[in-house]
Amino acid sequence: MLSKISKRTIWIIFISLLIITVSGDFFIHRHSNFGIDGYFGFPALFGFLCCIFLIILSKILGLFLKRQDNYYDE
Amino acid sequence: MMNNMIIHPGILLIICGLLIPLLGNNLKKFITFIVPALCFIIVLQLPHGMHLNYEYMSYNLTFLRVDELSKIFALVFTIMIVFSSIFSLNQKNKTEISTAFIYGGSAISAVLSGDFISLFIFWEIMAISSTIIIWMGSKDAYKSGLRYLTVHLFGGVVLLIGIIGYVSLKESADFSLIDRTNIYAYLILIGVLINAGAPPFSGWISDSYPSASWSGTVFLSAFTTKTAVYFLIRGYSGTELLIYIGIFMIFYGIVYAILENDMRRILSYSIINQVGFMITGIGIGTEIAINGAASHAFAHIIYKALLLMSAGSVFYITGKTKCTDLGGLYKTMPITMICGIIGALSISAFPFTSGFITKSMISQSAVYENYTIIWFLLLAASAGVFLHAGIKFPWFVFFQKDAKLKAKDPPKNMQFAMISLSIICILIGIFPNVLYQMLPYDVNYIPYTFDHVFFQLQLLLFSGLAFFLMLKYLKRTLTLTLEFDWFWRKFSKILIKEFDIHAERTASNIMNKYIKIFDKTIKTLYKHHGPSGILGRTWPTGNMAFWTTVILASYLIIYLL
Repeated sequence: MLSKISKRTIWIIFISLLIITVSGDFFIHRHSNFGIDGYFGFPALFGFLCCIFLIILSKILGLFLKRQDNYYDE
Repeated sequence: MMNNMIIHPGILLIICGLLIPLLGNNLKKFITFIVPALCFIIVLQLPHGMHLNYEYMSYNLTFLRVDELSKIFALVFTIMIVFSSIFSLNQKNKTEISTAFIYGGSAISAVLSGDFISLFIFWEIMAISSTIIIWMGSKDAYKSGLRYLTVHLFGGVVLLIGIIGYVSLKESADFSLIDRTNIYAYLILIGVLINAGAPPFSGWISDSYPSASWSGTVFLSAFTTKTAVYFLIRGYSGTELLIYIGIFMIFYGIVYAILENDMRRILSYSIINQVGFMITGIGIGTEIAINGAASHAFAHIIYKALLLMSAGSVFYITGKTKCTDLGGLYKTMPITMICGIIGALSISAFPFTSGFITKSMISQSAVYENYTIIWFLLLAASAGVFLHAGIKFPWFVFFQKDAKLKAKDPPKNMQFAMISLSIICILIGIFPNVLYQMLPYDVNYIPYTFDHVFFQLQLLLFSGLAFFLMLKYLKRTLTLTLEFDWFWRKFSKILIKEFDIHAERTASNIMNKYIKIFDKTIKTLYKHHGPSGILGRTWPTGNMAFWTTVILASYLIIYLL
């Protein structure tokens, strides 16, 4: 597995990329289609929240729908 | 097959597929290389128009209808066969490649058919040949192949009823935009949607594709669902119902892929998800939406084949497909890893990959038609695609923990196929006009604006952040997730068992009741007519003489009176 240091480096690179893409909103005027999507950092926040929501939704559905993987063999 | 020097590429492939088993090993390899490439050239040079027309039972059959729409599908199908054949050269089972030729050939023929009758024939050949490819796979492939065949034969029957009704109603077998004012149009739609993997018949994709061999899954991923997409574009564009079916498929695919453990099954769920994008576009139905759906099908076939080749290589080398058994392969299989990541970025519509220039056309069409909620849902889905396929697949297969598997990159021909498809994904992403020129309608859409690129990067990178922050909730477990096919895989069994018990009980109750009545009747009869019964026993002669005397005496008395 990646060593401790390289893991840290990757996180630093990743977070700086996140900051760069969001700060792009200072320089580029994004046009909006439906109003709200033109706000500063909208795609970042929307993407982040949607993924959290999808993971939680899957987890909840998983509680009901998950079975051992030999379920159909019995 | 030949008519005015026009060769039908699909039928050529089918014939070669039938001949392959008869050939020697070297000739077989030669054909596997040459024929798909030849078909690619033939398709490129097909002149527009209706060719190979025949009259059959007063219906006009057209085996070769060439226009932008059929050509782009036929083209991507041949590209797919070229590289998948190269990828599968190491497959020991030789039936697979010849069946794959028949399967691919009939898919090409189906999209090139200009009428319902010939289309249906090739549609059914596809169903049968793809089942055989599934059967070439692992030991539990037989059962899932049977389930696959059952679903497709059912879909085929519904489609056939619809076609027969529709053709006799219209008195013509020509296949163009379908008039949706009669029931037959909806029967046809149901038959086609079953092949597209729409719910409740979506289980067959994730059930059967992952049980095929490491090379079989690659062939399977391309043709069946995309032929259905072609059919829907041609016949049902602008059917609003399809928007909602498409959106459902998109999220269905994401949720199930998030819960899934088997890497090839994750990718199968993402087929449902991606076809959902296309079907949404078809439902919107404007020129840009149809362009989006067709180009997305083109791009999707290539990057999905790439992803499944990457997964197939891991399976071929390590013999494992479950994320719980895999991990840390980035050190030992770097080329497979890089190609897999390129496929993953393409499916996530990362800028400068093929998905970026195609999927965005579908979203844009939602903007133009003022489908606000649909647009936000498509946006959420784009984030979700990055989550379930873009990061999840490479992360759990090539990184996470080191599973200490002995591995190396696959043989050169497999690497060649993967690298070629990776290059195509990136070239389409960088030079979108090459693909845009081939689309059914003129394209007035510019994907590369700073605005759009930054928007997409923010969306995707923050989805990535969500993935890594939530990683402990995404831990893989040795589980499967129930879906619609539970109804016929488990529920029907329970139902039959339950019916069996009750039927037996009812039958025995009925039997008991009647047996009692029967018994009683027999006993009564025996009582009266048996050896000691009053009507059956032998009477003494004296008794008879006595009663005769009594009767005669009574007679005499009555007479005298």
